[in-house]
Amino acid sequence: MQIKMAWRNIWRNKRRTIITIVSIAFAVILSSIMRSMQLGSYERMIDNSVRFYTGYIQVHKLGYWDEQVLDNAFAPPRDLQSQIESLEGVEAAVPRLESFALASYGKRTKGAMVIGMDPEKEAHLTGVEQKITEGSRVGLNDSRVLIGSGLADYLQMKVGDTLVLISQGYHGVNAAGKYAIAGLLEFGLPQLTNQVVFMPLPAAQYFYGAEGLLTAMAVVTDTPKKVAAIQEAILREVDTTAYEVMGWKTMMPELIQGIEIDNISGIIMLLLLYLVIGFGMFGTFLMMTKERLYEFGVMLSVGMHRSKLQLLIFSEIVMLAAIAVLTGFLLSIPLIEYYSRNPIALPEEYNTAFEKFGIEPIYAFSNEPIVFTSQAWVVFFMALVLSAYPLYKIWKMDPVTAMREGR
Amino acid sequence: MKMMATIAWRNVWRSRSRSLVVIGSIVVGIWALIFMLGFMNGFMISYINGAIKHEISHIQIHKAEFKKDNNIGFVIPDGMNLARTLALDSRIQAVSPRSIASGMISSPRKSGGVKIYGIIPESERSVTRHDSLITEGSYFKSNLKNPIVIGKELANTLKVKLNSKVVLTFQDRENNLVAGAFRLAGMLETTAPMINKATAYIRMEDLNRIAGLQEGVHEIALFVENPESETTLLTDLRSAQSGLLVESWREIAPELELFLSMTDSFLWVLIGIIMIALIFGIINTMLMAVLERYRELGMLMAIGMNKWRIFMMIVIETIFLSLVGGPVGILLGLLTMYWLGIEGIDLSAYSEGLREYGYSSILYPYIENSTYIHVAAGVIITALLGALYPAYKAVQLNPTEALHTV
Amino acid sequence: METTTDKKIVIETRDIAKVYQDAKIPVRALKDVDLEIVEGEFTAIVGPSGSGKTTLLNIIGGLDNPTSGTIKVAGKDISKLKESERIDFRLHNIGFVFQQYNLIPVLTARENVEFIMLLQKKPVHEMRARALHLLEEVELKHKANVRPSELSGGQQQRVAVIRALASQPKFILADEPTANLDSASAANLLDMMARMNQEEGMTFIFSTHDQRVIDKARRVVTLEDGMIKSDEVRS
Repeated sequence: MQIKMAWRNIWRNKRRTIITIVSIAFAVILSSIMRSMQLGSYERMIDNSVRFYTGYIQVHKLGYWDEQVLDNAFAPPRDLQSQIESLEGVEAAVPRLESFALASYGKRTKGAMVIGMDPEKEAHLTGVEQKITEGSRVGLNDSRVLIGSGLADYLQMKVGDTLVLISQGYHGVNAAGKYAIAGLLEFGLPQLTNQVVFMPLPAAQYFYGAEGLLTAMAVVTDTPKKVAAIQEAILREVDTTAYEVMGWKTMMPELIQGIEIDNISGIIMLLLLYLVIGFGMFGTFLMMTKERLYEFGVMLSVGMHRSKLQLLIFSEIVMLAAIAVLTGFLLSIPLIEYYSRNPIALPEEYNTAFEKFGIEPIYAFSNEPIVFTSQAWVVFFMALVLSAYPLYKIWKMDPVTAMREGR
Repeated sequence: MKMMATIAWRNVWRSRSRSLVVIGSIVVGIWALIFMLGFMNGFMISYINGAIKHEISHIQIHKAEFKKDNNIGFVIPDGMNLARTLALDSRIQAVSPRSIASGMISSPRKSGGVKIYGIIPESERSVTRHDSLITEGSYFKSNLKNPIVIGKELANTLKVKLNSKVVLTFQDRENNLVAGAFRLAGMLETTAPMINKATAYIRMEDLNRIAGLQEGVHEIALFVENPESETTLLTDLRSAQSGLLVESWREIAPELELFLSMTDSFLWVLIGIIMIALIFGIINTMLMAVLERYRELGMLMAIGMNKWRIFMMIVIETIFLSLVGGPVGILLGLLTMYWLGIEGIDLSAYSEGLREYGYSSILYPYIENSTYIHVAAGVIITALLGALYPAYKAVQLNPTEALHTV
Repeated sequence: METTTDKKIVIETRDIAKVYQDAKIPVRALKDVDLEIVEGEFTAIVGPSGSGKTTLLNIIGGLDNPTSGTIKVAGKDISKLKESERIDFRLHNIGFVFQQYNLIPVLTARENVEFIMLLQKKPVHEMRARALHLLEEVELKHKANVRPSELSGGQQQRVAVIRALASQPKFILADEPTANLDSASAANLLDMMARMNQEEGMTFIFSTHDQRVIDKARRVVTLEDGMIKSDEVRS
């Protein structure tokens, strides 16, 4: 009976109800958008950082990460690559053989980081081919290399010149070789641009006397949510006494810190939004109460118990809030889904800073369900808490005064 | 006109609770924006300052060629004298001249590429404060011969401990490979992976001796007294030292610029969202105010008050509300920023990860004076925009509907 | 020399019809209404609900447009006016007294009277003087600086009347002005309006159920089912 009355009451003053519902629904949409953009930016930050170099997951020989020496390279089981790639969500398994070498040309020598890689797979990770500023790509069976333009500058080399590499190979063998420069690379991070030599994997393996060996198999995914699941799947597949499977969180702990700070500031921003929304909602309830003073006065005079009236009003608010929050929730879903697939481009002025790093200048949106659900709940809860005002007023009011004031 | 203002003003006080709600929304809106801006500002500043303080300093001077081609031959002409002169400039707090070589560091277990800085410990310390970041050993205070300080991570990779011997190999002026043995005097930990993993610090006298550099200096790093004077200082230095490359931290570390851009671009979105939330609250409230006065508005229209006047009446009412709310909001914002500027916000209370990272987790919100005015103006304009729809609605009323009781 | 036939026609309606379209079935509120009201009249328009009385009043008052037919006020055809022109016309030509909510709650009695003159852009000193004069005429000068909420119902209505007068309209339209008043105040108000009518020659048109008003009126127009049923002139 009460419920029916509450329901009808809501629709009595259609306009006021609609206005209230729209403003609460909007509150849900706004806070969902904010949270979606925040989470979207963290996801992208992780993705960008991870694709710079390490990938989301790496498989190494057990102990490699602590001691990153060539001697800790491993011979991958033949189907490791395809096994990993067949796992759900895996975009690519990227093999690498990395070590240090002295690079020289003419009289100049510099320390360089040699990354033996599979160009086709590497495209999924660092996107090497997009970083080529001069020259051309290399194929898997090429004997030429790509080097960072900073390194080339230092050694005073051009495309086509021959680079000499010297190092200590696998199990101490001498490693020496000459390689023609196929192209120059430029990364956003000067550290990479000044040091790196990308060599086709077979050539690198030969150079280091490490035929068939890898220092790491990096895993890339296009659905970051699946990383944990993928990591577990890989752990099940490989022999954990011989291999270690590491996620980006272990390999790049500073990234976690960075995101943590961002997350906290993000939450503070969200709290500020709640403050503004909450105040607006409070205002609505305040005025609704004032408007209905007369009506409440009448009901109390006629003999309705205060608690019953409170229950009635509370039911109204609950229903109103539920409708509003649900509406906001349902509206925000298509909106956010759309933008998560079609991100908004940043204003022009930011473009240069981003593109230097090969990062897309966009506002990313996350479509994790938690974005919508958490906001809907928070706003709903806020409405319930703020309903304390009208309930309090009813508790304290004197019916006769109320009827007089309410005109 | 004056009568309209009078009516509008009196209408504001007619419904005290409603007006308080609108004023409150404006105050809250302004306060929230000020807090947000102060917070994000403080955030950006502390991040950048961290990098400037311990890594790249405000300004770096090199010979232009050196930047492209780290050849040890490209010293800054008369570098040490220049460093001494700069140290006398009151705008500059500290100067650190450095000689630089790239090469290899080797331990019995491993070797790796490093950038080798030859420093004068007292000068370097006053610019980068690395002495405060030492985790083991000391910052060139020991009596070791040929001391070297490297990042803790690098030490771990090389599997060396304090007092262990490492060999630095690099090219001298004539491009001959030269080497020197050094003893690990200290390990440091910064927020910069490059420093932690691939940098070695030795005394300039040692580096220059081995490289045959005499008093040669490749880099002069400056820490300015007052960041605001940085731009003028840059211009002065550039004109005074036309043969040299004078760069600010923005040019040296574009990723900081990236960070600034990212944070900045996001900030605008946040501001927009809060403004929208604010405008909604105001539309809501003013709309109810208009609906409440249905009858009265109908009467006014009947007796001959034209639509424009009625529209303006609502708008002026909102202006008054803003004029009350505006200053209050600014005042609250000012007080909050002042208090937080002293106390700071302790972020690590919310995150353990931050504490471990050693990141300065106390954030001091900061805001420029002009921002207060901008925020208040923005919010007031938003409030006015919010009044437009209700005012429009007021004017759409049909007097006949509003009036007749029969 | 002035004869009755020289009296100016204040309101002239010809063939007024009003059809409402908002309901699903069109409602014919007025049909074939011809009415002429002359300067100085003290006329009541009566009729039960649904008779079209309200509609006719709205049209005469320039608050609404007829669907067909013409209405001229002081010789000007107002049926074709645009909304903004209409508002302006009302301001300068028609005075209103409603059943209630006549006054602006946040203005004092004097300010309410001045308000209408302000809208008409009358010079300030003239405005103030006239307002006080009018208040004095209805013995409310002592309440000049008082807000409507502190006036009795009868006092409020009196202020409403002089507010209407202050704008020097062609006629005053009073819609149930006595409905909310007790008999003493109602009689008081009615006398006041009759006095204004006689002394100043102001035309009054009432819409009313109140028998006292009907009794005082010199002409009674009765509407039924959207048409004029009778038009009685008394001496």
